[in-house]
Amino acid sequence: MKSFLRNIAFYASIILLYFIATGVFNYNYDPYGILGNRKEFIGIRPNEHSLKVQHVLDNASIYNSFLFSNSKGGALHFNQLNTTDEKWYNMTYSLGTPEEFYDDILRFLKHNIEIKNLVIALDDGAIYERTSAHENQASRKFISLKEKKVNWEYLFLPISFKKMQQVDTSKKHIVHDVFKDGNYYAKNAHPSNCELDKKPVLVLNSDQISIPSVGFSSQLKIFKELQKLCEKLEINLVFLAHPTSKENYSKSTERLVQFNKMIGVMKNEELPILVPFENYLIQNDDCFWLDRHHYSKKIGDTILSLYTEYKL
Amino acid sequence: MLFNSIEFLVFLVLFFVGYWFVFHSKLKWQNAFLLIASYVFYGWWDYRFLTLILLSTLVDYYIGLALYKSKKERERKLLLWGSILFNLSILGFFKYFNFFVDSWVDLTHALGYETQSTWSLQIILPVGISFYTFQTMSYTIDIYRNNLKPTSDFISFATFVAFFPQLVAGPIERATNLLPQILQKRNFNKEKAIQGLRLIAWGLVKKVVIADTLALKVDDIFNNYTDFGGGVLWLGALYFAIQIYCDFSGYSDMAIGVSKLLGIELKSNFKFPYFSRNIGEFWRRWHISLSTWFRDYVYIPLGGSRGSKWLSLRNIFIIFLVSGFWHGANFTFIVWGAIHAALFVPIYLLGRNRKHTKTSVAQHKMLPSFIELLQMLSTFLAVVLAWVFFRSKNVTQAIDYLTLMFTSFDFPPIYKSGLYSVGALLLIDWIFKDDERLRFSKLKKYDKRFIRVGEAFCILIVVYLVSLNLSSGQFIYFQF
Repeated sequence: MKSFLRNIAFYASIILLYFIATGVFNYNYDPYGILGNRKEFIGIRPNEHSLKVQHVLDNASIYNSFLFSNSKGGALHFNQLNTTDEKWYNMTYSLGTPEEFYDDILRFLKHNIEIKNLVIALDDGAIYERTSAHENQASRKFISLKEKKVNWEYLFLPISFKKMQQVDTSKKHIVHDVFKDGNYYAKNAHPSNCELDKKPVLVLNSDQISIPSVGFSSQLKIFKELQKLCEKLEINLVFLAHPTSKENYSKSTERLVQFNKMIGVMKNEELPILVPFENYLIQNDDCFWLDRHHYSKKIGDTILSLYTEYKL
Repeated sequence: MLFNSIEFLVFLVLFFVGYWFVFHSKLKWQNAFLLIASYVFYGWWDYRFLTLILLSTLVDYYIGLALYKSKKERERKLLLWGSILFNLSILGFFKYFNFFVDSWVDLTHALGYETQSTWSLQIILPVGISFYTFQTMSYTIDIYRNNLKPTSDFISFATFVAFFPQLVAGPIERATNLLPQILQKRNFNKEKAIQGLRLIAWGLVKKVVIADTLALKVDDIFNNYTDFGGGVLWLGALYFAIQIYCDFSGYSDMAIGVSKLLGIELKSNFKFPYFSRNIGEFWRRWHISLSTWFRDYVYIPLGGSRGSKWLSLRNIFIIFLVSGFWHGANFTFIVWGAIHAALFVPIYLLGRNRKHTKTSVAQHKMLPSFIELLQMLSTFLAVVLAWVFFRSKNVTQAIDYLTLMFTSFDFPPIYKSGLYSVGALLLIDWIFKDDERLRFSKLKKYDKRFIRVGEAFCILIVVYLVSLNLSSGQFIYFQF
């Protein structure tokens, strides 16, 4: 027995050392912001979903208009449309899904947040990104921060050496502004020769590939629930289709064809959907694209003006 | 209390100290302590469930003693049927009552009669009821058959029924194996305890790292199967096959491992079933404690394979259908059982059902032969397709799901990342396949320091993997 207990003590000390190391790292570094020890996220992706929900709940009287989107919505700075009556918050978070957006909206309403405007921005991720996949992803799993308790699983997450590396602020990086407006700010992302009045090159999508449509039952169910809820509470709801770059279309044609089919179904179902640039793709250009998926604020601002027109 | 929870870790440490250091001197005390701990473990879910297990224990304890004393065959038969009916009644009421009522209502509807389902009740299914009722039934049947002498020590008998490592999800132990170990003084064995820790760690990895991560994908795919194409549905079926195996065999490994820490040996419940070369071999390797229970207490009493071919075929179908129904009150489980019976019949008729009883695939070899590989793949494919019925909400959904698997291929196969877990599991299982108890006897020739470093490294990997998936869920087989 003594020898066994010695073995156990050896194993236990390894486990203890591991947890001490991860605990110390996570408590001090708090890469996801869940432990409450980090407020700035320069070039590091926090668990935006949980932090942003909590920020809105903590400031229930400040915001009444929300954009829900996956990371593409980071460039849609809706707070530029703020008026005395309408205060926007950007609920963009990485790989966010309509199902999660719906749950967040219900959560807001449960906490008596008055909602005037809702924009639900969509792309092919609405079909292909699954909420269930976020359950075991530290940066995407929803954690209710309302209860003041230690989130042990975040305290003992494995040390991420990638996250430990300091961001070189002279290089291209994103600042996640969780605690003010929710927007993403791309730093050093655009070449210096981007003229203010430069226009993006639009390319007509004449691709006629024919593939059978998949069912959109789970997506449509959520969209209709949202529509019903907004009609009941007199919330101004708009679904917004994110534009696509030419390069992204050529690399993910099948996904984007299915997305266009979903937009068609949404229109048939009379869901209020705004499709900026309609059937046009946008030529890739460093002034307008941070990468082939994410457009820049220049495109974002154009979408904001299209939204304003659509609303009128 | 779940094996993969912090409460259980605390419980196990405290229990281990009490078991070996406080109550070890007297067997009676040690058994009483084990019994109380088992009741605490079980009552952690819902203390009300304890009344059922106590009732079942009392009934079978007294029937067991009466059976042994009685010399009249008629009286013995009555006592035996008393025990069987009692156990099947509580199982039937808590697990199958609503199923029978609803099925009756559906049937009368189909025949054109209007019936209201006023008999359906809000019944909570007590955790592990199918396991302990079968365990206690085997006790009285074995006494009736004169294979076992009953114990007059009530505490020991109650401990046998409620033995916490295997109480809620098996392995279903026989009194002939477990009871003598409870009645005997147990001595601590370091080798076995270390082996137990290995099994606990490996079971935990299977459950927390593989089963629980695949479960998220499986749930999404099966709940929204019409939104996906065939590629994803194939992945969903494959992932479920691995999920249920890791979930259930992971629990069995942990149960066997915890028992080893207490100086008790449980029977093996899984022996790498996905490396089976035909369906007969699969059933000798999958949920062994249940299939041998049905073999010994249903199949053989029905005549087994001794009568005519038709009688044997009838017995095969009965045992597979009952086995399916044991898993739950749903036609999907019955169809699942019927499919396995249909897969078993051809090999039975060709006389190949007892093939591969002595050896495992590629025994003591690195790789299987081409024929073995084909046999394994075809058996695995059949098992995976049958799992679709097991996992689906109803038979219609299962048929739809299977149809889409074969007719729709236009959806990009998202969820491919789960294939890493599948590949890793199959690879590790292949390495372990001749040593399911993880004895690692071949390592004894190496330097102890080398082994220790290796162990430390493995522990770090296990802790790392488990900490990635800290919020894990309930075991699937608890619902059965």
